[in-house]
Amino acid sequence: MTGAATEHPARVLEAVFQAIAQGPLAGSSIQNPALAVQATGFRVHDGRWHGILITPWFMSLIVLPGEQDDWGEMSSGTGRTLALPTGEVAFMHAQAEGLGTYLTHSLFSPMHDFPHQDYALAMAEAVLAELYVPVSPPAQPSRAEAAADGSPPLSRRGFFKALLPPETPS
Amino acid sequence: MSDKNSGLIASLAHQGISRRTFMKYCATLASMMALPPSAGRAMAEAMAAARRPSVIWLPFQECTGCTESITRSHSPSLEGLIFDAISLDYQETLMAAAGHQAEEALEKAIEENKGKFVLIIDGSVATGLDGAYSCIAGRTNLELLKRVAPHAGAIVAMGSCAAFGGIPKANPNPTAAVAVTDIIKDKPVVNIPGCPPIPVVMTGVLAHYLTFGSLPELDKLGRPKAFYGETIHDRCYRRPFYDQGKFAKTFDDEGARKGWCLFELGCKGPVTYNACATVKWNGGTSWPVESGHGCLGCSEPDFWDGGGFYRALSMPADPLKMAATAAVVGTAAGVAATFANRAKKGAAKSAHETVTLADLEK
Repeated sequence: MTGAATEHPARVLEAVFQAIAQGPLAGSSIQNPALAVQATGFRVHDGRWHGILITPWFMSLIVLPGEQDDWGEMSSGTGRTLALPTGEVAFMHAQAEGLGTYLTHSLFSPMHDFPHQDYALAMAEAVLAELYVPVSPPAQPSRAEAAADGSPPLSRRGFFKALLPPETPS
Repeated sequence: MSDKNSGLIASLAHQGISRRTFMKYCATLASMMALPPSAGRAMAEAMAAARRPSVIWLPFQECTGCTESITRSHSPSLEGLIFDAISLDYQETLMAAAGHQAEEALEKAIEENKGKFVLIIDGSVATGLDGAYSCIAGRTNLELLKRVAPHAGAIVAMGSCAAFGGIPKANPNPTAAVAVTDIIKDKPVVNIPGCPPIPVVMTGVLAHYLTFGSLPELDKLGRPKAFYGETIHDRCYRRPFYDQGKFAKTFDDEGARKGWCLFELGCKGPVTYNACATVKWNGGTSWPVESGHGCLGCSEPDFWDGGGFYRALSMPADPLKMAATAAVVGTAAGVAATFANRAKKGAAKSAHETVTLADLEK
């Protein structure tokens, strides 16, 4: 899955990390049981998919390789700096089965400070707004995130509303 | 110690370090501290100015590891030379004077530089038996701190003992040791925790003070944000393995050989704020996790009483009880801005990750 930046990556990302959550990390205390694996806010920037991956054990900014990239030989943990609309960001190469080599920048880990998925989503939304603000609005939210708990997608205006305690945990 | 009027540039040249190398070092320093590029030049000019500020360094309940870290990290380091070029008027381990002479030097430095000198403290302050557990020249550390601190222009608590009480304060704390900030309440104290702290952090704080006449931005524990803004875990090169649930279970299993995450072997990286993962140690050679050992969390308060270096961090059983911290999320926009800025600042760090002081000295 290191191909073109045409296919929306949310589903593949979610599947790969869902398998980790239920496989090697099943029952592990590093997982916050209140959270779920969810890829959110993915948009194409410079020919690559950029977005945030929320999991019960970390939240990171993720960049998947575009057609111009050949990152296969990069070893895990080495750095690469990318220019985002609001400045340069230091990423790290990482490899996962079913995903190939991708870039990651840690935002939060572990995730026990987030009592509910909506808080994590609101935070992801806010971070993306800070990092990508000068770009024209991307085609989001993705179907994946809108479908997450049936709640309406978060707009900047609805952002603070989203911080109110949710009625039911998803 | 050194002649106050000798120029730093000349002193460096004498050591075989060119002006260009020094400028490059200052630019790197500015970049590490997330300051604008122009700050590098300003720092170079300020540090090269003829008159070096007076520094008084008081060692309290300490092991001299902090002094070792700064002066002998890899010899001769640029940090060490800059240290030599400041006017280090009192430092018992390094100064030639002894006995009454040394105490006279201290009093003279205080009188001559009132309100201007930088006070560096390493070691915790004993308060038990009125401080009698640790005395220098018949005066308790507590007495000495109260004598010197009111006249200092800036106070730096160097190392985990001075910053947070450190090992002397560890349970059962027989000397009733406290941190510098437990005694000094009326002026800002820069905490540079670590056991020992990273040398370049000290140089960075000094350079900032010399250049701008102010202290760098500090976090709620009094640490310079530029160096303590991220956890070890966030910038650890083994981090992708954590994300993928790949953990070494023992120090010699297949996971350990493959360089997997050391979380289950007790690594305290996720709760430790320090720059080891990016700045590294011994001139950028390596750092604990790269050498195969988990982070001990030595720069965090009360790290010695954390429940064992080889026990995995315990995670809250019921995360919903952590909802109090959701107050943090309540100001998500602000927090997000911080994280976004941090992300961007990380770039400056990583860009210089491989530029070590050894490189600069070539």
